[in-house]
Amino acid sequence: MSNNKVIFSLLFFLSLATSSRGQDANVKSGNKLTAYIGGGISFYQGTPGTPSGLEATVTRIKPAATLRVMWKPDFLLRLGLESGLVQFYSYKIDDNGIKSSTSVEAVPLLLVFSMPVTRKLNLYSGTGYYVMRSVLIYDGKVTTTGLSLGWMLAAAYDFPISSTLGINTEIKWHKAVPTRDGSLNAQVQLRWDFLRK
Amino acid sequence: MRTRILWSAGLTFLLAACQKEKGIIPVNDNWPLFDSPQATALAPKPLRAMEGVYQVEEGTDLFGGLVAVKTNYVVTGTDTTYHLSAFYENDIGWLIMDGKRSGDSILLKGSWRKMVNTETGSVRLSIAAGNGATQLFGPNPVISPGGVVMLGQYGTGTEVPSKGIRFSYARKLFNGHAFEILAHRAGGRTSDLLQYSENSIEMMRNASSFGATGIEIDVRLTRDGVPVLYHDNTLNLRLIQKNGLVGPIDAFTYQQLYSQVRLIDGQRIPMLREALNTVVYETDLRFVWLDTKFEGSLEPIRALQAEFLQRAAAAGRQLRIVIGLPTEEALNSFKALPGFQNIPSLCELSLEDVDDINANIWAPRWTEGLQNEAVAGVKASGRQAFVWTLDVPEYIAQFSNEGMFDGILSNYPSLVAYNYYVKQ
Repeated sequence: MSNNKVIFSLLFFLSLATSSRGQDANVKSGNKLTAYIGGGISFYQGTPGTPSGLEATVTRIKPAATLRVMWKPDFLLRLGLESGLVQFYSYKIDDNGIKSSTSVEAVPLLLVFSMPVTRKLNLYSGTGYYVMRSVLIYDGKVTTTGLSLGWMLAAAYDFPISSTLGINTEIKWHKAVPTRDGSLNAQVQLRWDFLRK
Repeated sequence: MRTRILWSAGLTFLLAACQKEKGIIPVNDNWPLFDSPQATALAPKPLRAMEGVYQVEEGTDLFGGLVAVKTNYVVTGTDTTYHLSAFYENDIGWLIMDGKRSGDSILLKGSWRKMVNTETGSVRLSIAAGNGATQLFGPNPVISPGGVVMLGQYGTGTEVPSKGIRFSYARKLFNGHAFEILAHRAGGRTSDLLQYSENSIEMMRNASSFGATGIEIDVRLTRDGVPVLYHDNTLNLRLIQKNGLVGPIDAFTYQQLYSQVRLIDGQRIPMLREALNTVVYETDLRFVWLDTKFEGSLEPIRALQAEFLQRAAAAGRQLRIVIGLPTEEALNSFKALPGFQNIPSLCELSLEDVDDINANIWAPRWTEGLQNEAVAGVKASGRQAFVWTLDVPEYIAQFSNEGMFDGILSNYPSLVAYNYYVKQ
């Protein structure tokens, strides 16, 4: 079984356990819309593919950004949409007369579910598409896109700074399944409760 | 909580079960007698004389009741290597062997394979002088039933062969009518479980050892108009090794694909020119079906078709290369070619379209049934009829025994070969 499947299974166990804990704590958040915007660093996980037989210099650490809007009803389960930018990895080749560079990034389009574990600690999981984008610079420049199904899991800790604003620190795992790209993100986001009943 | 654990365990099991089995298990091919200096290369003539349908008298667990034995060759540089393949029905199996002469006996060493799973193993056979080797070495070998007996052992996986085999010559291979055994994507779904990528040069070089007399290959154009072999319209990890690139294949130039993209087995995406060159000069294949997977002018592949038909004729090869027309768009592009009614073609569309372009071959999909009446009509008009893509063993047998088609396209060419050659 691949590492991804093991990780997915463990996180599935964890989410079951923590959702149970959230219900026990009876945490309520009110009925509101909350936006998160921010960014951080993406650490590429897994094997970055490069053309076999050619020496490649790979960069795994890249910037990442998140834009997420969550509907927080008077229940434990929240629902929202997430997008942003995940730069997975890039590589340069300078071998046998071939000089090229390639970068791989994605714009996630995810349906996100969230549940508070405590008042400040939240878990997120999402599924949907990653709009993959690759840029090859060799014999000209080619920018191509494609869709990849995928998922996201995240844990975030919130530091309130006012009644409607907060700083959200988030550890997040992105996975685009068919293209076998995964990335662990560490991000800081601004939280804004912009519509509240 | 217990229910959650059970659900989670079930999910974990499902995820594990979805893991694709891939790769071929290494076999035990260490046979000192075969590899000794006393064993010398076997000439093609006795190998060809061994061709026939053999009764399996021992080893029926693996091979079933009959095997169809056929020679094939591949050219590497100036060397021509002959193989002896045996096709059998059990679990869509095949056996590929090399032959050597040791004194007055013939030694055959190879590996068997099932296509329904990843099971494989080694085979060692010998034909003693008294079991037909003397006849096979003779000037004009004519083999009668029981005249050649292959004795030996087979093993599973890496085990040393120890289970008995006895193949006894029963009759000649059926050759009642011209028939093409066509390997889908140059080798078919077999490439999912073998070391060769579909639509690759190595797959083509090995297609005839899997029973094919011809290949179907998928042609696309790169951004700079180079015809290449690739089935899907996008770069994806089913077909290529991971390199980060996504998107349509026609967004890239040939040079970009050549330098940056490797097929799943590590080979490069071949140009159609390389592929046809391989077929003409390195294989004994006699039919090529160019399946057009792109929209636009067919001039580039028409030019290559014409060039390699001439080259094949010059090399003394009886090779047919046809342009396959699977869609209305491809048909219209074909009609735009000058003199299209005289260009060898295969049409998957209606019989009216076949007549309209004077296609050499009509090729309906197998789900439309045997269509014996329609096929007879096509044949009466001097054309041929092929059927695609037939993989279900029961239907391969039915189309082979009850149908009138002149060729079957399949991901299991060895099974089509078995069904054709054992006919009486």
